[in-house]
Amino acid sequence: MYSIIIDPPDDLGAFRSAARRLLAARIDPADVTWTDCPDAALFQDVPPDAERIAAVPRAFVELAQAVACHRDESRWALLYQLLWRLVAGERTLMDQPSDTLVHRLQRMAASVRRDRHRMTAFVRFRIVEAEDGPCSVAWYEPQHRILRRVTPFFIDRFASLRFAVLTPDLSVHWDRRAVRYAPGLSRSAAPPADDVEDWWKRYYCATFNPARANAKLLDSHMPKRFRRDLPEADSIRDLLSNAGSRTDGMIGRQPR
Amino acid sequence: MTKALSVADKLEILADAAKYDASCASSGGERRNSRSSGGIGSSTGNGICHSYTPDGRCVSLLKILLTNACFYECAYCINRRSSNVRRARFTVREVVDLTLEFYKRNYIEGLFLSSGIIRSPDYTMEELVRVARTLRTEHAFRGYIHLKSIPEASPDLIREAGLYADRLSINIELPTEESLRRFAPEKRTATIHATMRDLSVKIAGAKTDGRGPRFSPAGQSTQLIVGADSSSDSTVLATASGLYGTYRLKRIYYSAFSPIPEASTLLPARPAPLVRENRLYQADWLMRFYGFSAAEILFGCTDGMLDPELDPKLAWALRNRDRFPVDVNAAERESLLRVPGLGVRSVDRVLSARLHCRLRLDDIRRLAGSFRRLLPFIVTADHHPARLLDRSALRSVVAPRVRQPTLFG
Ligand code: SF4
Repeated sequence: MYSIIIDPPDDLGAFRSAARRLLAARIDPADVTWTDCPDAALFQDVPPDAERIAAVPRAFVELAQAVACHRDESRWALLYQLLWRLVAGERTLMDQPSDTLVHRLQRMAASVRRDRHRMTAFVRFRIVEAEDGPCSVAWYEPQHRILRRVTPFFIDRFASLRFAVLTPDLSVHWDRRAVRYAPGLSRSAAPPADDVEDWWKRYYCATFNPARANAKLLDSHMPKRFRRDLPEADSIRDLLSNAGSRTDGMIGRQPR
Repeated sequence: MTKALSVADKLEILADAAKYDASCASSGGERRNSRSSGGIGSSTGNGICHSYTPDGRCVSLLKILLTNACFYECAYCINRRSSNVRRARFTVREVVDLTLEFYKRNYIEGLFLSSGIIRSPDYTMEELVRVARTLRTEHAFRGYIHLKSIPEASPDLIREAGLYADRLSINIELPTEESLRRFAPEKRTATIHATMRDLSVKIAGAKTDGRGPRFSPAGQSTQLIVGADSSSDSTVLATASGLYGTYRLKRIYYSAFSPIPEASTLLPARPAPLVRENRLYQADWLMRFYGFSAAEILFGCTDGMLDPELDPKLAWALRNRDRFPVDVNAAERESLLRVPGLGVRSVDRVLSARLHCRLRLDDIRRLAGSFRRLLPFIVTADHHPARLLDRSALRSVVAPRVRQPTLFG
């Protein structure tokens, strides 16, 4: 029995090197346990990197990059099972989304991708005046451990600004030149609202057409659990409950 | 004189005035970032919805008018000359600042700027172009810009607009020339079409000549209001398929006529049902991505109207039962695309999976989204529903019970 520790828990590189050694020694997936927890070290005797293993398909690498961020504790075990079968000769496995294992991993990857996309959409910066100039700061709680994967998006976009994104797992700081990661922070570390936020809330109310109110559609696109840290979401209840009377008012006021 | 409005007041008025434009898309642009530009902004080519309003519509762009003053008299529009609404006007600087401040906080992907017509079409277009020019050249803004192009504006202004904008649009508003003349007396179908043609030529030209000046890389779009006049769905879809074919539009937005304050007496008192808009979007989708023609979609519909209770793909399948069931292990892509419940992505997954094994129901359950609805229409290695299609009650088996319509649902 082998016990492999992957720490930090989204470290695909650590998984890769452990998996390579396990494969080289032909260690069956059933004989390996994977854990994030550094104290769990029981059987650390992974064999050395003895021989080169066959190259894995590109599609596996992409899948693994996403799955690595997933919070499911079985992510590494499942990835190793897939790798085991690929190396054992099931070369076309990645093209078989109907395979139970591939299907499960693809669903995990899709969940991570959705979470990444959501983060690029729902992070809200507040501008904080610091001694050395303004800094955009956001606190955000992603579903999975995606901060490292999403950071390049924010640098592409805000390279010329100083910014920080704080999440419960990890924080990132960008000083216009370099990225620095720091420990995670709780919601209480969120910066206070700035003046522009109030304009944004007014914009959000004004751009809504009460004649089209549709709470169900709203919930399907932006489920309640993702609204908690969106400043504009505070207005949703009132907007919906007044929509009917505003619309009737418009229809009633027509000159006819 | 009333007292001067604050920027926040103007924002409220001019966002409210712009909200009847359905488009808020930020997709289809070029990939770019600000790593070396010193400015801000990026675009991945895929749009991002930063929020959703309580009607479930995507908020991607700061969608505002430069001014809601207008000397045109379009009956369906809250901003028309004779309307009693409060008027406001942004300065160019105010729009630029709002865009940048919202963008920095990650509220938006960029700006969608339109305007009522003041003084002259050229004057108005020049103001819109100044906003875009200032954002791009003074602030190196790399976010998304969608500009409304004023049909009567001069070609030079349109050319400059295309240089800065990711997308340009002109709203055709009503599906027939006759309706346009009745509801928008200053607008001319011929002018709108001429401008669309001009845009499509410039867009295509810039695409083929990669080194020439940029021109609206995310193409052009338009909006059609449904339910304000008496045009049927078949008229709307015929107009739409003509527009897609002739001018290579990226998107047509269908906007169910919605009551406005200060409405004109020319208009119906009641809003058009949202389900009508929804069915038109579904039909539009079938024409663009599923190989259906407008005629096939509308065949057998009463009074040229789509069935409000069935999505048009299912309705088509029920009228063409002889084409089903389709064998998922053998059928061509075109036939699979016609199966109700199989989307483009599911079809591609089926095609790739069946190279490796004969697909069974369990496989389909993993590959497709709406499994139960599919059953009467497909054959798999372990499922042969031939008899089911003979049942006259099929409609009640597969049709969803009438429910609260949801857009794009
Ligand atoms: S031109 Fe017509 S549609 Fe446009 S703002 Fe003026 S009145 Fe409204």
